[in-house]
Amino acid sequence: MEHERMSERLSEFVEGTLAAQERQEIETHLASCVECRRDVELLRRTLSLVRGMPRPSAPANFSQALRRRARKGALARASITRWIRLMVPWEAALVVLLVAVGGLCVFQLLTHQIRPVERAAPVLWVQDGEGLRAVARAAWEAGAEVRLLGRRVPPDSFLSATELEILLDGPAWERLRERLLPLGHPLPPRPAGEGLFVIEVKPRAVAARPDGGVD
Amino acid sequence: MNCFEQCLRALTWAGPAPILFSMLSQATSERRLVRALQRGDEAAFDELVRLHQHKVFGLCVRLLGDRAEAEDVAQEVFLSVFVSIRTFRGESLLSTWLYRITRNHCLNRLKFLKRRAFDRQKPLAEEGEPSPVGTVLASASPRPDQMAEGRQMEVLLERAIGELSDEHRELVVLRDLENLSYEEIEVITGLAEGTVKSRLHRARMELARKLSPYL
Ligand SMILES: [Zn+2]
Repeated sequence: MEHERMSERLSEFVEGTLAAQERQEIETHLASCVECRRDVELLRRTLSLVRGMPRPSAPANFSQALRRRARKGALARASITRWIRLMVPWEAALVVLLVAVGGLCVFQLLTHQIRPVERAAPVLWVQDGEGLRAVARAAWEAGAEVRLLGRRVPPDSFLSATELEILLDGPAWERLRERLLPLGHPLPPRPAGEGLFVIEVKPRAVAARPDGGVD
Repeated sequence: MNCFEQCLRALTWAGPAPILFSMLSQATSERRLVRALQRGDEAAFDELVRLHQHKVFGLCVRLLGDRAEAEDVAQEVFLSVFVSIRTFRGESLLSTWLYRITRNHCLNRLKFLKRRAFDRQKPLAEEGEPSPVGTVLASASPRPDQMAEGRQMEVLLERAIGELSDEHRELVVLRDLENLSYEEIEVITGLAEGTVKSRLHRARMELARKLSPYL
């Protein structure tokens, strides 16, 4: 056990950092312990070797390389922070507002197509799916846009028993009116005003009247 | 020159205390440097790099065992110091603080390198093949010309240090290569005095045993 306790301190003994009394204890132990004497010798040689090792110098261009790297990093950071700091609060608020409005527009464009007309849309009642398709085709031929559930659809993909919307301008309204007359679907005269109009087309066979009654 | 320094000069003029004066004036110039650094003075950063690049780089080489990695980490150390100098309270010497940052950066890099080496390791490593840790650090393998130059012992020593565990290596490097005091090592590693001493002894014995065939 004496050996264990002593061998723990051999490093400090070799360093010369032990107090006089501890140093004396170890010297006494060394006189009778071959193993510790061998370790002390090994430690002495190792330490003198290690302590003699030269310190590697930094490369000659170290500070230049560092400055380049710092500048690169600083530029990247500064361009963002300066941009934010340069703006006075109301400008920042304006940017936020513009971004929000722009984002909303893009969102609208992507989800629904924009509905330019928000007038009360007249309803054109047809008998059934066949009537619906006939009106849709006429609208297409008149140069109107036909929409199914808010989306523009090609002329021959209209399913029966669904509502359609016809989006059209003034001249197209007149053309459609002419085309629908021989088909037995009288379209009311074009409402006053410029721009686009919407006509809802509903088959009687499936849709109850909005007022609950039946034609 | 500030008032403190003038008083000091006046005091030391009379008495024979040139060593005390030089220590104190060193402390004053370090305080001045730190204050300039904290103000973001660019010239002060150049001065810091000029004064400490070899210490920082040297410690990186010793801990990482690879000059290219060491240069990269040493640059990172200075870049992080540019930012964190504001948190330096002067409770330790600037060099001790720098050593601590360097040591932490190196340990992180070692972890990263080992993980990478482990990921790249073949799934069925043969028995007796060097461990991933050994592969990372034994990159300081001797070149023929180094052996011919009579640097055999130095190269062997570098390899032996590279083969130590991270915990052992850092203590040998800080104490025996960088000649730091135990107090400084405690600050740098965050270890208690007893742990530093007992671990350092085990590290030195391990190194001594590795080198014993050549001693
Ligand atoms: Zn013994």
